[in-house]
Amino acid sequence: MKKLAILSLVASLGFADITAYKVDSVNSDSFKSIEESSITLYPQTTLQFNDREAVALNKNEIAQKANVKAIYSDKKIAFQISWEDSTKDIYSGGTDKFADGFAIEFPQEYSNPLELPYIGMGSRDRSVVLYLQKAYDSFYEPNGNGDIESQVNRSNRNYFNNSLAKFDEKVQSLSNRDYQRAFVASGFKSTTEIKDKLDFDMQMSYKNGKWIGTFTRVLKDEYLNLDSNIFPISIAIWNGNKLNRDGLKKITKWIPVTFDKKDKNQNYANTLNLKVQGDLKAGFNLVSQNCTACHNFGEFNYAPKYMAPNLSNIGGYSNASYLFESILKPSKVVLAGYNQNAHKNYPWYSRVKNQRISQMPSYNFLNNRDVVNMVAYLQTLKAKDNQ
Amino acid sequence: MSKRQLAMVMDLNKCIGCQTCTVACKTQWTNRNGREYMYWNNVETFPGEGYPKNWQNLGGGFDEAGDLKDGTIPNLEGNYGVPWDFNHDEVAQSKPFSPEQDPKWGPNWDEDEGAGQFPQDNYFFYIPRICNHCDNPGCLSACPRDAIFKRDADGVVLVDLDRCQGYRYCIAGCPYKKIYFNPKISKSEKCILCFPRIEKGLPPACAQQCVGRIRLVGFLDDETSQVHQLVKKHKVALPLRSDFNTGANIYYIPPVLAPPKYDAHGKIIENSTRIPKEELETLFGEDVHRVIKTLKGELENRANNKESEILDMLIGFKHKEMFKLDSNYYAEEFGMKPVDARYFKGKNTLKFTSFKAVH
Repeated sequence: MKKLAILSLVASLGFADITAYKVDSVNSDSFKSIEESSITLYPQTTLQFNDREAVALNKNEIAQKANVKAIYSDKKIAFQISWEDSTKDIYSGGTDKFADGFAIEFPQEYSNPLELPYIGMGSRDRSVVLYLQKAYDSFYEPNGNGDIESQVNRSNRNYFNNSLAKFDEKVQSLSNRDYQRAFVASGFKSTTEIKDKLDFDMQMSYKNGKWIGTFTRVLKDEYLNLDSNIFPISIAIWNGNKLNRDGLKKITKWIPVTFDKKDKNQNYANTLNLKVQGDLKAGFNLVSQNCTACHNFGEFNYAPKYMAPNLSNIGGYSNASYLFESILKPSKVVLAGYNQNAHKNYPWYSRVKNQRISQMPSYNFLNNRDVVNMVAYLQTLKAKDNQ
Repeated sequence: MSKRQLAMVMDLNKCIGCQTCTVACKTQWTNRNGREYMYWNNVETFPGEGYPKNWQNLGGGFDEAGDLKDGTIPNLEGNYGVPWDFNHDEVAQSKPFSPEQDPKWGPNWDEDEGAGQFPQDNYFFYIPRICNHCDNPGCLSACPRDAIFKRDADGVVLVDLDRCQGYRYCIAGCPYKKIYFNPKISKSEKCILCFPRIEKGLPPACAQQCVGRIRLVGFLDDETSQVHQLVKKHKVALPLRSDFNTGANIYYIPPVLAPPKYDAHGKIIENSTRIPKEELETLFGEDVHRVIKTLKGELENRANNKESEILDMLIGFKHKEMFKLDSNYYAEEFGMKPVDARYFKGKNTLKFTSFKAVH
């Protein structure tokens, strides 16, 4: 495969891994003496959403550092993520308020590091499982029973008095204090909640301007098997104060997680961490000649806004293998992009027999050196971070 | 676009602003479960800021090129208004009668205010509004979860509550601001055109209960329906703010007659009309003048004892003629099963009689 040959040409490493440490039992105390890794989350700018206020608030958003710890036992694995957030946003009502939150995403199938799912909700035939926790005061559905009909008009309080107070208690007891959900997805828009009872737990706590989020799950269930030498994860955070929700978030690229007591699969980790060495000047020239008619990034805004994915942070949340794949085989991973009704003049893909065919042509006519230079340049497209 | 499309025609000349439609909808669907602040049907006074406040300027809809426009999500307290109670209990202890909280806006806040100077040129009229069940809904286009769908059988636009994750881009995308966020369940909800009623051949509650009999309901492609005849054949019913480019399917007969203005001495200014032309154009497009001319001609016909098919329809003699629905069609289309049982829960909500009143 052409791409593999390219990878061997340019290997050089640039990023840290997450190491999971073996503990006797997985609980919040077990994290105390564990070494942490620093990760960087980049603002999602591939798509822009149609909320005027949110767009204005998230303009020129910078990247953010976060720290991750991981532990595991024979049966379970847990992550602890801490990130700075100067505002504690817990959703407790209102139509235009949003909650802080975090999510962890895993590819369902991850044996080939060159063909991982797309970072934003996976892609066709490359599905992901993700776990989401939002800081909610309480909400009423789904609560396992779907009992939204157990609520009545509050304004009858005077009349019904005690009966209604009792009824209130019942409704309150049915409400969930945690907005905690698991999803499967094989592409943006396809995200579907897993309603089976899964063995996982998420917690969020806020202290001294920092959120600490923990996530615990079994190593292996019917949706996901993490019982291997190495697997990739991606982490996302939402800032409610900036009206973050959905794709309006900060996200990492695929980061390898290894186990301290297991053999390391160094090749796999290297593939994910690859920082391509190339001629950045030549790469820039190639990108501006070949890409800017459709793609915007940074100050390059020549293409119609909705024409194609915006590349402003593509180097922040894409692994090198995805960039190579997108240039050489653009129809392998095709983003759903905008609703085709919303921007009908700019479909990102056409459909042939229910398969998405990207509007972007393959650039496999370029020579290897050119592609390497392009990817090297694309990897530099990312926002500055907060440190 | 759906295979067939249900539509409603509302005759603004007959709307008396009694809010019976609003109450019919509220008691049927939105008096519970986090929907308390929502009015899937509201009647607002024009000119006025409406509900939610200033909705006409909050963005959404499509531009000329067909791109979805950015929009603003209305604020609960400031734009919708929070339902409030009064301090009935405290009044007994000789406290002044007042709301329990300080309301800032509500669904009918600027009722009957209108514009102009009394008695020279003041004016207003009512606009009842429900979801427009658009051909190309802004809400549907904005949803990043594909949680909003338009039924092929009748074009009713619905939210799939299982898929909805409460991102609220739909609210920004709807130029009519007729989709609402339910804070209790963290999902969006909207007018469902009473589809459980429609599937049984009954009109939506708002239309059934309308005191002025201003609402006609039917399929746009059904040539026997009054809706078809007014919209397609006589072309006297126009969508609201068609410049939002969503293809709205609720049509309005624009206000035809308004009293003349008075001059400073209280004399009638001949051939004047109180409703400014430009405002009607903003609401209904330039076609409004042709429609008004046609309808005035019809009124004149009737005054001269001639036939008027249009006015006969607008009078609304019989519900059977006003509402052209067909439960057999739905039975064939969907089988005997309801397409979607979610909203049947509304009717099963615990009855108040299950509580013991305190005496």
